[in-house]
Amino acid sequence: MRIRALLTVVLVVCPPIIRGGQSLIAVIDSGSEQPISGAVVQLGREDGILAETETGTDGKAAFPALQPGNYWVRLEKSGYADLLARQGQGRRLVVPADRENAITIHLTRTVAISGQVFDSQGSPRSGVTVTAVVRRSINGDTRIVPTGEAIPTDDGGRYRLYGLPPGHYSTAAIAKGNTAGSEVFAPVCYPGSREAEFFDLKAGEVKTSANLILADRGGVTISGTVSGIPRDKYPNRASVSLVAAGALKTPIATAWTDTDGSYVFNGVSPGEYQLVAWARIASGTLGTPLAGTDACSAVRAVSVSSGAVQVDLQLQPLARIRGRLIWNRGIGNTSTPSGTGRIVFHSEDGWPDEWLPAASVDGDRFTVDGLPAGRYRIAMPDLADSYRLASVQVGNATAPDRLVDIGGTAPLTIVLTAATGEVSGSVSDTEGKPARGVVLLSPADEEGSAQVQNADAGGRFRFSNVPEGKYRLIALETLDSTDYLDPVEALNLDGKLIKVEAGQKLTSDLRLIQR
Amino acid sequence: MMRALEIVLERLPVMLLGMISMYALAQTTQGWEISGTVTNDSGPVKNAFVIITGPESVSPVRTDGEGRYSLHGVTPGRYSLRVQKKDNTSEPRSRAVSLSNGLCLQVDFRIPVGAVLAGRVLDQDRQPVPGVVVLAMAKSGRGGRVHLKMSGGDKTNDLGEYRVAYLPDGAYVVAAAASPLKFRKRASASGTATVKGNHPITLYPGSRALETAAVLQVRSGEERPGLDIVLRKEETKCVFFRVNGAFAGAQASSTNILLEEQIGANAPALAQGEITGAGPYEICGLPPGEYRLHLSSATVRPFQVLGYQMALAVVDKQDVDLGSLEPLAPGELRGKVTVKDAGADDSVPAGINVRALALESSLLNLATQAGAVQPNGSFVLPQVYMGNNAVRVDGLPAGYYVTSASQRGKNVLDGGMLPGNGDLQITLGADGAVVNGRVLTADDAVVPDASVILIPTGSGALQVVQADQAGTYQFPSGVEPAEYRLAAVPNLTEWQRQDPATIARLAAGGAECKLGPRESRIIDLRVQSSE
Repeated sequence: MRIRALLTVVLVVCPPIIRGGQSLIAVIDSGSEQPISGAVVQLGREDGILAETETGTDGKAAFPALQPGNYWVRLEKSGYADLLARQGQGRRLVVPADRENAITIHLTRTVAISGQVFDSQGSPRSGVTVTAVVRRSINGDTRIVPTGEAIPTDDGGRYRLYGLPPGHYSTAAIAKGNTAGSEVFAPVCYPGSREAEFFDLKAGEVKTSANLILADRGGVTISGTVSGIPRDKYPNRASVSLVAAGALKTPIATAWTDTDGSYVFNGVSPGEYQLVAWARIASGTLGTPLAGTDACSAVRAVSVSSGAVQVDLQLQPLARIRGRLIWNRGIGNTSTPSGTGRIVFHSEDGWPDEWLPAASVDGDRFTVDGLPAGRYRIAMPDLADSYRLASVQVGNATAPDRLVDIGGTAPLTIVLTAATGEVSGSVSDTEGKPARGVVLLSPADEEGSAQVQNADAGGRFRFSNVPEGKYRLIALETLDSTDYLDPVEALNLDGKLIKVEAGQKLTSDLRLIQR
Repeated sequence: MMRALEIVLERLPVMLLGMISMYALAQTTQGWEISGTVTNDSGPVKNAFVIITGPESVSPVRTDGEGRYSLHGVTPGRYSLRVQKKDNTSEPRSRAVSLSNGLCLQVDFRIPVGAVLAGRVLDQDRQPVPGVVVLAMAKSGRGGRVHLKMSGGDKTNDLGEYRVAYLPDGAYVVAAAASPLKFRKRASASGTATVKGNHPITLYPGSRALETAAVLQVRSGEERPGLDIVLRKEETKCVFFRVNGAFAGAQASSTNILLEEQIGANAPALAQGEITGAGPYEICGLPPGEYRLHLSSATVRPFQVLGYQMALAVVDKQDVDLGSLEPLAPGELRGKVTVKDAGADDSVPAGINVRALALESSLLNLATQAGAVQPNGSFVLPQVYMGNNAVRVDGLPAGYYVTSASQRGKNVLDGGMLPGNGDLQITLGADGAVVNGRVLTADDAVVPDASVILIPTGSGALQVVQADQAGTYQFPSGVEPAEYRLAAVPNLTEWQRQDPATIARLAAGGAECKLGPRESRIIDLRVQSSE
């Protein structure tokens, strides 16, 4: 009988028949305004993908007529990026009841960066991980964060990073996530120091010879002992990472301790660092340092100038954080955000963001397994458009600036608000005449995606249901760069800082920025 | 007196070693120790794994900042020693070493420069295709099965360029794997429109079948640019399936799927993912072709397979619904070992184990199920995967060899064994010959690390063993009585092994060797040129 069960019957189903009217999506190159053929268009709702098709030579893709509601659209075309897509999730698409189903989507040509990595003697270095970096505003600070795919240099020390949306970039050579032994790799930004030099890449441009010169080993030794390692559990050791402080927070070395807890890093350059130690309680796998409650950890800041430094660390168990989401729906609003997305904990103590566990959200409850004790700022970057994170409460006390101390047992409460206002205005060109353009409304001092609108023929725009908060309002001829996300470049965009309050109607007139 | 003789015998290889400059010697009081360095063109290689396999299980070690390593153990015997480094697969071949108590052996490894395969991936309009994973797969074939071993890879950049470096000498096929296919849950009101997609796997220069792919033979230091692979786009379809049974989301276990095209063993997976419920699921982007969908359920710690099923999907002009799949629990396999020409009352020697080796899916690569053979010849393998298995017989005493393993009259030694398909009959020969000796140069100096090849003059498979640090070689257990040619070369590469002309040349230059039943032969061989 089992043999028969192996012979699986192959059934055939008929393709769905498209009835009635259609929805047309037109895909256009934002630079040339020419249609883009061969772009894969995926259309979906919250519960999954609805349809997938490809644009024809006219740049258009047809879908069955869409019911009014919320959708997402994801576009794939090599050499192009959708500047309004959320990471990996496509762009939101609201189909209103009173509009015909014709949608135009602009894609922008991506940029590339190539170069070579050398050591201080001028020899090419293979196998060095290189990443593109951008400036972003996190917790009000300007940080340098890796973006796109990090790749190792080839056997000739060469690298090429591509598929990046236009904007200001630099590159950095960083240590791999799990360097073995106590070998220290000092991160270097283009062209050859910790200070990154940024360059502007417009749609379709390629930066060549973005060469990086690695620093020599430093002369400082950091050593010490990690205590509190779980005993009688394989591997009877802790892992210790040396993390560079400063704008580019990145681990530069990771080592196992000995079974007695001792560790050493040789060849460290003078500077500011965080030492991070962790060990698994239940299993010997390395994986990401923190995930699950079966780990314990410690972190300490250290400043080194010369000679040898001793730093001892005491491991502490990691907590399971529980909390609730409360939706303050505002007047007349009865909807609940369908996708709340990630709850991000940014460490104020030097834990690299990528090492911190993600919260799992189930309805209005969330849990985070394995967050080390310390200070965190909480953000929710994927919230639905009409909602914003209003405040965070620990027990009954409201945390100032969403900064919380994790370590106690008091549950967290995150309050989301849908208290909204309205922002409207008009766009004019340099001669004061009304102008068509793209209007961006982006959160001013926290993560989150921007809302975008095309001004009408009279230069008018209107954002309704804007959650309370501070925003930057920018008018551009076209959206062809990520510079609005770069805190340094955003200043050149002449954005207007506005504050939206519940129930208020705000009018703001904008001058078009020509680039 | 006996003790003194033992010491002399133990030291014999040590004395021979004195003639070879690469091995330094010392005495240790207990057990054995191997140490040395790993270097390449630019100096010491740090963080390389040094792995030893043999009678004793010894944990691999890593080289330090100066490329040094050291291993020690207590059980004497023949071991295999090799170096492995992540991101640098240009590993030297393994070394055979004979280890005895008190021996301190120095073995230094020098990793060669490696070969480079490079080119572009282009579409039918000669436009570059970025983001394509290009894999260099070492091709070998044993027992009628083509075996592909992933030896290096790269991802094309926006210019479509790839470059796979650090490849050891060998024969390669180059495979371009277009972006992984989309495995996902189907939305409630899902309807898929036709999308044109690249072939999931295209072999250089533009083939979908291994038979028509180019086989590239490369040597250390060689660079092969211009290996452009042209992808073809075709209309693609979807495969739908659901998952039935308690395995979906069972406690402390996970159920995974893996889709592959029928190219050869270890072909790259086209889609994989974890099953989180009954589904329905879909995998889209499949051009016409034959695909295998493997469904496997296992606990993670300890790793134990709970169920497995393979479904064949033949994609043509329509989407394919595989219906509901259910992982089938492993089945019991019974069998009997008989010894050729043995009397009915003769018992089968102790210490023999029969293993089922799962061949179908890379999900089960690590999985083997073993059973000990009883004195009456019977054995039971309690849990064997419901899939294609090969048979392995371990622990054969000297003089014994496997002549056949059959199920329902079909030879299943190299695959095709399925639990529930009848008992497994294994026949052993007991009259095998023992062959060993040394590999020497024309002026009688010993040659360490040489490859020794036993070539049957009639039909049958080649057997290759490696000489140890003292130039001594030894074929395992029994060699079936027959006529052979015996040859030795400093290093037999995989592509030489597959090249009939090379084997014929080695056979012609080798020693004639007619092995009678139970014969024990010591044959010293002159090393031939590898070229």
